[in-house]
Amino acid sequence: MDGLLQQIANGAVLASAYILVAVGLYLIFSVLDIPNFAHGEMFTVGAFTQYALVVQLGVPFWPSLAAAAATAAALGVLLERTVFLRLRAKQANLVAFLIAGLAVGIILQELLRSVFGTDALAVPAPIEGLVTLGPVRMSMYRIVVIAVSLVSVAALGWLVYRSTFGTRLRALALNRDLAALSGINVSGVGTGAFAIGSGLAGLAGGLLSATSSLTPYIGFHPTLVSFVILIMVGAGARLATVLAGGVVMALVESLTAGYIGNSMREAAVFVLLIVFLVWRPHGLTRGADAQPARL
Amino acid sequence: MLNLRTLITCAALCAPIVTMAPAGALAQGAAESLPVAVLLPRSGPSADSFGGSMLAGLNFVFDAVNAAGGVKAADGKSYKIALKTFDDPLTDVKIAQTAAQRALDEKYRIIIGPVGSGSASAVQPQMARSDAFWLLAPSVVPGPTKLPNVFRAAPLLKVYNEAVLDWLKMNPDVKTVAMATDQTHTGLVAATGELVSGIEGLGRKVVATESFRQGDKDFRAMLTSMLQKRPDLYLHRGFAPEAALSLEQIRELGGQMPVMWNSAVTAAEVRKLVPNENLMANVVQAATGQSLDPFLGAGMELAKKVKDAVGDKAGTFTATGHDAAVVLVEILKRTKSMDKAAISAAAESLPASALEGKTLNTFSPHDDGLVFKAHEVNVPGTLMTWQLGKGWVASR
Repeated sequence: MDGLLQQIANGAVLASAYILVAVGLYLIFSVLDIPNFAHGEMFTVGAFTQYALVVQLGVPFWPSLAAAAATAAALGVLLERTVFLRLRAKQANLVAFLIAGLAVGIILQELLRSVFGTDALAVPAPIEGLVTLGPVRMSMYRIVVIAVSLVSVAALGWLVYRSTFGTRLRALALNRDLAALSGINVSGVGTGAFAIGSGLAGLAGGLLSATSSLTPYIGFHPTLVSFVILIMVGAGARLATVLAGGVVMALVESLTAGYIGNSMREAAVFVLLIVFLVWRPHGLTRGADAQPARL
Repeated sequence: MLNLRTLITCAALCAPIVTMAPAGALAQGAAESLPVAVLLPRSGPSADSFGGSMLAGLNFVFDAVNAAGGVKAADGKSYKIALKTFDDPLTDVKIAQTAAQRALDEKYRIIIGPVGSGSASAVQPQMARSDAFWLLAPSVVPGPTKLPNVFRAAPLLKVYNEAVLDWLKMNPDVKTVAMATDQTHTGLVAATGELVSGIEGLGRKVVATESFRQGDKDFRAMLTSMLQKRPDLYLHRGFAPEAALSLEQIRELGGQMPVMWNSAVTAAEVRKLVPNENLMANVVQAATGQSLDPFLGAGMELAKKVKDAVGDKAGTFTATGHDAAVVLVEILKRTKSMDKAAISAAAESLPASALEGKTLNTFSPHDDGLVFKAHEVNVPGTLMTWQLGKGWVASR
């Protein structure tokens, strides 16, 4: 039982990482219909910004984290304005968006490599110490990561469901043309969504830089995980479902690694994906106007 | 009496002799250029840590040899080593095969590498068909050295296993071992069965054998499962970033047992990847002498000289590169011609005494006093313990 509780706690730690990256991609995909394969690189940019500020320049951790999120957000805006907006204007098909995202991702990886090299790097955690709750042990910093993830998602939820901007976002997600006709600045709102989504990925990268090792290629796994979660929950899902999807995926990984074998953890995630594609190809939930998952 | 016509005629006859004389003198001492290829990562995740560090060691030796006039071979000629790198980023064996083929297409007949075991296995058919002499380092996969033209200038993976077993013999209170192995490291995976047998042969028990992949970041689930079995030792077999992360996570989960790394993690990598040095208490490294660390720790003058020369380029494989270059130079000194058969014959008969004082690792002689037996060298592993505030210190 002790082992199981610890594994569930391990899953919670993993879920907090997945959720932050996934909700960013969910926002971009829901509002703009863009499968952004460079999303993981926003995570990487956030992580390396954190490294540069904290380790190389000696800036305190928390202001650096804000800067990491802002940098990723700014980069997301640049990407949206220079690449994806133009593709949309030319009415490019889905494959063009996929290839563009992949290409931008590779460019960003190589840019980071040329600046930071290929050796693994690390950022020291700002908080040390362990917390023991019965049989469960967790570092203080990981609890902070979970808390920041939950607060970020809650803030996003408030923005999406309670604010005027959120109303516009949801209008754009439901029907772009109608949103434009009703006077919503679809371009501005779309850019805002991209900025927020990328900023969340950058925040995740900055936060997790202190629990991981950094190389320019760490963005691939978060991208993959985010897309798997998106497919599982389906288009039109609410934010809470994305949260649940992240938790389910993290728990499946942790429990598989703990009770079957670590080598099976990734396979388990893809088995889950196949099950969903076969059983619920439209995802776990399907909104009234949701389009089928096209990934 | 000389007239102008005779003078001009004499000058015309003498001019070639006068101009060719210094050329002749130069030709007698001038070294030929000897192209040597090296397959190692110059791009990808291992470019700096593996490729750059190994190249630093190779260049240190070759630059010194060239500055001294080149290698004087048994054919009476002097050769200056012209080293060219071919990129094998260790991410896909097809790229390794392409790099090897490029080196062969450019007519390189002496090739150092590949670095990675997976690459060496993939390139083995090309080695067999080629007219080149191959010197492997530090790849540990056993197959290629069965070929007549392939030799290895670095120890086999069994040396890692031997170092682990030596440590266990020194620590009889360690009864149970949990181990995790990087599945992307072909050599480590191949040596796992032998290691488990060796541990059990000492009367100890292997309570868990798990696997992970290079690039994994979260080991908590795997480590939680291992800790349930209360091992006396956690043995991590893989590369530096994953070793550092698993150490941090096992300590976080309450595992205070000794942690052993079967990785050649340098002190510089530890300081970068483990910001909280206190986590390094009770960490041992059982590896081979791939980096300069064990030799600097032992106060070796040669190691200090190499470190001063290469500076920040020193890393994971600097000692490996240095020693491979020294071995190659000594082989070439004894080569009667620069074809693979002659170079291989020179390698076969290379005495261990030729390397004394020149290499960082100790190349112990085989029974016949030679460096190579079945194309493999006899180099012992290293056991190091991390001392807080100091770094790696030799345990034996």
